[in-house]
Amino acid sequence: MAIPTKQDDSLAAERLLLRTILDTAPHVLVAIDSEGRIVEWNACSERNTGLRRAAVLGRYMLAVMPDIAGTHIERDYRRAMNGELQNIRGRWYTLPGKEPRCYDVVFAPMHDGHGAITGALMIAQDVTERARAQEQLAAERALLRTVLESAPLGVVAFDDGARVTEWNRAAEAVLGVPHAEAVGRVVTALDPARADLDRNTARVDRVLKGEVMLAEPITLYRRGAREPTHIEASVAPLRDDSSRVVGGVAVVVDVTERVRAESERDRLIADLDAARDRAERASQAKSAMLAGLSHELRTPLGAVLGFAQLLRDGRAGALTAAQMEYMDDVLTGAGYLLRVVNDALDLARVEAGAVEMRPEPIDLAALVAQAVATVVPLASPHGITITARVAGEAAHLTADPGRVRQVLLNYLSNAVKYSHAGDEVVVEAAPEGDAALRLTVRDNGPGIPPAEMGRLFVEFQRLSPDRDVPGSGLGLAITKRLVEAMGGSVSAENVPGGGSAFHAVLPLAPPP
Amino acid sequence: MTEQFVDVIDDDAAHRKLMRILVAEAGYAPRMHAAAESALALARKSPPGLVIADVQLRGEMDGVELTRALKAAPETAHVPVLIVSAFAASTDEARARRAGCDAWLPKPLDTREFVSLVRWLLTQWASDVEAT
Repeated sequence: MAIPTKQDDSLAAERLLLRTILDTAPHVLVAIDSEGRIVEWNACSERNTGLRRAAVLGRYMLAVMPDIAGTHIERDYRRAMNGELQNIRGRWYTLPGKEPRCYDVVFAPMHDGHGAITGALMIAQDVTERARAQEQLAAERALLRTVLESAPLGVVAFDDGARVTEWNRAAEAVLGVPHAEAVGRVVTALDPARADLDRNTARVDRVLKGEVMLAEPITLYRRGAREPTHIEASVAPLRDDSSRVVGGVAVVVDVTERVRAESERDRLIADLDAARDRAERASQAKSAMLAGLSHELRTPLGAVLGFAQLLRDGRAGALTAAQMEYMDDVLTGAGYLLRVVNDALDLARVEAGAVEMRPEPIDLAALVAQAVATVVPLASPHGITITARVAGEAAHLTADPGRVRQVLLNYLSNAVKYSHAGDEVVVEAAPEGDAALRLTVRDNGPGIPPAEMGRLFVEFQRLSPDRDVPGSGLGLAITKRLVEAMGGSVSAENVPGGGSAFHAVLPLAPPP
Repeated sequence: MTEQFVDVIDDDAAHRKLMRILVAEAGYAPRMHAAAESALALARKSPPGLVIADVQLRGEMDGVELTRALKAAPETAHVPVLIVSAFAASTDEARARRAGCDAWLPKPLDTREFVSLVRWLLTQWASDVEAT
């Protein structure tokens, strides 16, 4: 056994150092001699292949690593043996029984001291993760591209000099400029008419200073177009990693149709407003005319009634029985005319909103009794009885007593007019829920013909009477408007067994 | 006792005539005017026992303003004023009452009520007012 010399010792140390370096390296290091046999196989090679160094040293590279399709180890080896240094990025290798991995590979010739090629060195670094990330990135870019191109939104990007860098298909359609013409040009110069150049330039400047703009309305004229195109542009600055503004991106939408529809709608609304104003003015004019006419009629009617009274009472000399009877007829006719005129005046006032309500707490039982007493003289001679039923809890109501009395009198006199001898008219007051009161006047007269039900509360729509029933035909119309002015509602129905019922539902307290 | 005058102011000729007849029927001497201005001038010179005026008058001055003027002048402040109105509107009545009118009748007039009101205003009113 040879005794190790000092020179042997230093050689061994050098070998150990080299071994350590080779096995610590994070790269696959394989050396192949000129015969194609493996002469070096470092620890990283073991980890990457699962093949032990001792098992492969001295074997042919192609036997250990069969030249699987696409790996080209044999070709790369031959090129290296021809003195070619190869730098291969991103080559995929699939080892038997393993997942494919991606490597950056250097295949380099090895030389001896005289420059002769003695073999090839293969250095490979596993870059699978990087490759996968790049693939992912490429796929994402492709997707983004697709989204950008197929999106119905125009997308325009520009750099810090306002020059177009991105102009998708929808932008071509919205703005009317093809991609090829747009890219590289100043974005504000792309409106052929430059209708809004100053304003658009100011907008781009603001975005490049970092401002975000949402749904800015912009009007432009496409090449050759006579009608304006209305677009909405939302623009935001684009920033680099250090937050510096390097450009901007705009999303543009063609809103021409919407703008047209809106202006059409505004025009329709204006037309409707004007029509309503005209109708209101006409209605007011009608009410004013009705009020004026009524007043003009009342003045001479007052004289007719006054002189007729004088004559009838014999205060202008004694009358014959016939003269007296005819004067009675004059008074009856003039009195009826006065009621019509008064009702028309009343209706005109209510319609014009000129009726002032003076709400106060009402003793309902007393008010109903008073109304009944007013109508009894009309009812008793015809054998008609009137009964009042006011529920105790319905006794309190805050409303204009004069107007409530008017409503009751209207209903009551109607009921009496349409009743026959022996009939009964009933007036009832009962709570309606927590906050309202129902006044009902019921009769057992002929009832309301179904055909007339719908126009009961309409002006000058008198029911066809089965006897000569006096009235202006305005009473129910006035009643309805008075009750509504007090915040209530009216209704009517036929009662099973004959007769009709008229209702007025009033709030217990007046509306504010 | 000398006959007492009643000044009647109405711009409607038919009503003027009707009220003239009714005032005479009540037993007083009517002085008729179509406008407030002439009535006011005469009333200041020769104060009547009663003034009856329509609210609405065609001249510059209406019945309410006439009432105010009568009540403001010492010569006529004691003369009762009856206002008649074709408007049943309570706002008119309130306006006339504030101006100092003493009685109010709506048109069309009930002729009997009118006659008895005129008699009451010329006989009982002064003492009734003093009593209250």
